[in-house]
Amino acid sequence: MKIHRRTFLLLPLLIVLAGAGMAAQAAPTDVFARAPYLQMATPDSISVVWRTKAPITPVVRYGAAPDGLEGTVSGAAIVTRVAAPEGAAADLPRLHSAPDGTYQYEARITGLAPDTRYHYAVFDGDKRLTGADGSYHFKTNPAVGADKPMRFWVVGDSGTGGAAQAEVHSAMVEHTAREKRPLDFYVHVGDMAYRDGKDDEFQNHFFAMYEPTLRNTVCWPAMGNHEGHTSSGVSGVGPYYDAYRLPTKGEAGGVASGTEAYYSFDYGRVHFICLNSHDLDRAPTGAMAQWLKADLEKTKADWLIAFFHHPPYTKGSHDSDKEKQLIEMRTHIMPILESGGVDVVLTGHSHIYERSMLMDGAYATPTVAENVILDDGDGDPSGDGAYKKSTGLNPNEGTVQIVAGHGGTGLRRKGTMPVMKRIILEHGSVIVDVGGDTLTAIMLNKAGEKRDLFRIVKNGKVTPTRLSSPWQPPAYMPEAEKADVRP
Amino acid sequence: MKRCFGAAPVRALALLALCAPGMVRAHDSPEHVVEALTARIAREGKTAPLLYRRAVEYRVLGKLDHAAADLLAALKVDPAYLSAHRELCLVRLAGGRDGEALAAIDGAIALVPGERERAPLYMVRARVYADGGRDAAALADCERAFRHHTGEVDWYLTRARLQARLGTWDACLGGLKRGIEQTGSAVLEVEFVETLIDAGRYREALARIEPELQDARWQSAWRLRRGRALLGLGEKPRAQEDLRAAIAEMDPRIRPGTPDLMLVADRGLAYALLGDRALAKRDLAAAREGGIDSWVTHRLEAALAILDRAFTPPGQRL
Repeated sequence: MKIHRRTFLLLPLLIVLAGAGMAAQAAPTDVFARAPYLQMATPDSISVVWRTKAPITPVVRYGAAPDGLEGTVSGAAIVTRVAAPEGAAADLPRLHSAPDGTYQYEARITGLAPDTRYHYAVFDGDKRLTGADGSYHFKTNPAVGADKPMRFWVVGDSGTGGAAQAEVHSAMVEHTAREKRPLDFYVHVGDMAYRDGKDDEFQNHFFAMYEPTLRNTVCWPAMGNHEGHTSSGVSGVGPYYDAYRLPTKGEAGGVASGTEAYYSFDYGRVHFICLNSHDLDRAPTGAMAQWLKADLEKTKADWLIAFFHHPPYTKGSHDSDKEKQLIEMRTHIMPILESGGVDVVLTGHSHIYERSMLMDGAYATPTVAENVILDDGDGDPSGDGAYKKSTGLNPNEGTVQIVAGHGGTGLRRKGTMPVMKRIILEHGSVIVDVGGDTLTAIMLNKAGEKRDLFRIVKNGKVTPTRLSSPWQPPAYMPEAEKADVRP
Repeated sequence: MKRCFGAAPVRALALLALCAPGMVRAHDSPEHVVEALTARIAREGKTAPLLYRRAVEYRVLGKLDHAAADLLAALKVDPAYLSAHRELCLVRLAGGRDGEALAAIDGAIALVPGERERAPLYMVRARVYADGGRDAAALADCERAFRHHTGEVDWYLTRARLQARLGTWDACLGGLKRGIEQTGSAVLEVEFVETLIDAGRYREALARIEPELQDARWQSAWRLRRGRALLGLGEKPRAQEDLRAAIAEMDPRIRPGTPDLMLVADRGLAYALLGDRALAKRDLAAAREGGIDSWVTHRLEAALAILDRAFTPPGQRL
C-alpha cells in the first residue's frame, strides 16, 4: 500500500510538474475548441486539423523555418465540418456530437519533401492563431523503403484525464528529451476517451492531455471498446471518426481498405497495420480479414507491426481464454498475421503491461506455451540476448506480443498468461525504435524508469525451433501484487 | 458449417445501446460487469436496460443461454426495446437457432418505421436468411437495404456473395463495380476478379490480374486466380506453371498443426486444379476441421466435384 498512498499524496505536485515540463511551449490561443494536431503523414503530405468555437477564415502557412512560412493552404483546400442546429450551415458536412457552433478544419498539405522538417501556423485570415515559438512543426515520413531510424510511442487505455495518464505522458516527454531523440509518431491502441468516447471526453481526456505532443506528432489510432460506445466501425460515424483522418484508399501505403476502421501505413522500411477488433466481423471471410490478407500480400517492407485494441493473449484485467473478441483475434486474425511475417503485435484493453517471448502459432484455447515459443529468453541484449529472425518478412518466424493497456486507467491482473516474459502492473507506455536490422522496445513506467527492454535482430537466415518445454512465468499471487501496485 | 455473411451490420445497430454511463468502471472485465449488474438488478429490480447490458456481457463470455434468458426477460419488461430484439437475434444466430433469430430480427424491424433506418436491420436479416440457406430471401433484403443506403464494404461483399451463389453474374459484377467506385476497397476488387473468373470472363480477369501480380510480395493468391483464368482459356501448361508456383510459395507459409486455414484452402484448390484429388481432399478436410467458413472452400469443393465426376465411370455418373 505504500506506493499507492505516496502516489496519492504527491498527485497535485506531479500534475503541476508535468504541466511545467511542457510550459516552455506556448499554449494555443483560446479561440481553439481543439488545438491544432497532425494527421495522416506520408512522405509528401500531412493533415493539420483543429477546431474553433466559431467560424473563421482558415489558413495554414508552412515552411522550412519558423519565420519562413512560404507555403499556404486555404479556401476550398481545407475541409470544414460543423456542429450546428438543423438548417444552419446546411452545405457543410456535420460533426457527430460536438457542441453546436463548433467548426472543425482539416487542411491537407501536399507536395512536401520526404523526411523533412517543416514549421506551420494556423491563421484566421491574416491573424495568427498559433504561437510563434517554433513548437508547431512536423516532419514528413521518409520515402517508402528508405532505411531511416524511427521511434514511436505506444499508449493504451489512457483516457481518464487523470494524474497517472499525465505522468505517463511526462515520463515519455522527459525520456525523449533526455535522449535528444524525439518521437516520429505515436500509436494509440484504444480506450483513449473514457468512459464512452464522447466528443467532450475526447477533448478532455485525449486532445487536452497530449496537446504539446500532438501539435507536432501524428497519432495513429485503433478504436477501443469505450470509443465504440459512441462510434461505429461499420458506419465510420462518431466522435472517434470525427477526431481522426485516416487512410481509406491506401494514401499512406498498403492497399485500400475503403474504411477508416482498419488501415495500414508505411514508415520507411516498416509497414504498420491497424485493425478494428471491437465491432467489425473478425471472421476470415469478413471484409477486414480479407483486406488484411490482401495488404500482407502487397507489402515489401522489412518489418511488420500490427496494432489493435483487444489482445490475443492476456490475463490482466481481461482474460483472452474467455472473451469473444480476444479469442477471435487469436484464432482468426493471428494466423493471417503470422503467416504474413508479423514481427510485433501491439494491443491494450487489458490494464496491465504484458510482453511475450518470441512466439508463433499459439491459437489454442486456453493458450499454452508448449511448442509455440521459439525463444524463451528475455530478448534483452544485456540479458539472454536479442531475439533473432531472418532478414526481411518471413512467415512464422516469431512475434512479440505487447499488451500496453497501462496508459492511465486502473490496473488489474487476473492470472498468468504462460507465453509472457514480462508481466508488470504499473502505469507506463512503450517506446519502440527501429533502425536497420534491429527493433528495440522499452517499457517506461510513469516514474520514467525502464522496466523492460527487448530487441529483435533480423539478420541472415534463421531457422526457428519450437520449444516443447519453454520457460514459464511464475504463478500469480493475487493479494501481494494487488496490494503493492494498484493505484 | 456456418455460411459466411458479415456480422458487421448487427454490431452497428447495437452501437449506442451499449453505452450505459455510470454502470461499471472503465477497467472492469465482463465477469466483473456481470457481477456488478447482478448486484444492481438485485437492488433496483429487473429493468430492460440492465438486463440487456448483462446479456451483452454474457454473450462476450460465450454464455449464450444466460444472454438469451436476460434478453427475453428484458423484452417482457419492455417489448419495444429495439436493442434487446437485435441482441437476441445475434445470440440466437450464434447458437445456431436460426428460426428464433429470424423472429427476433423481425421484431426489431417492426419497431422501426422508416425504410432508411431499417436498412441495417435488413442486412442482419439477410445474414439470418443466408445462414438458413434462403439465398433469394437474403438477397432481397440486401437489395432493400441498398435502396436506402450507399452501403459499407461488408454490405457489398455480402450481396456479391449471395449473387454469386445464385449465379446472377452481371448483377454481381455491377454491384461490385459500384462498391469499388464508392469505397475503393481492395477486397471488393479481389471479389470482382474472382467473380469475372467464375462468370467465365477470363480475359477481363487476366487484364486485372497482371498488374496485381507485378506488385505482389506474396503471389500465390494471384497466381491461383491467373491459373484459374488460364485453365478457362484452355492454356493448361501455363496454368499448371502458375498453380505449382503458388503451391511452392504457400507450402512454407502453412505451419503444420496450426496453419492459416485460408492458405490451406487455397492450396487445396491449386491441387484440385492440377488434378491431384488426394492432396486437394486432404487440404479440404484440414480446412473443414479447422472450422473454416464454406465461402472459403466453395471453389475447392466445386473443383473436387468436377474431378470426382471425371473419375467416376460413365455408367455410375449421376
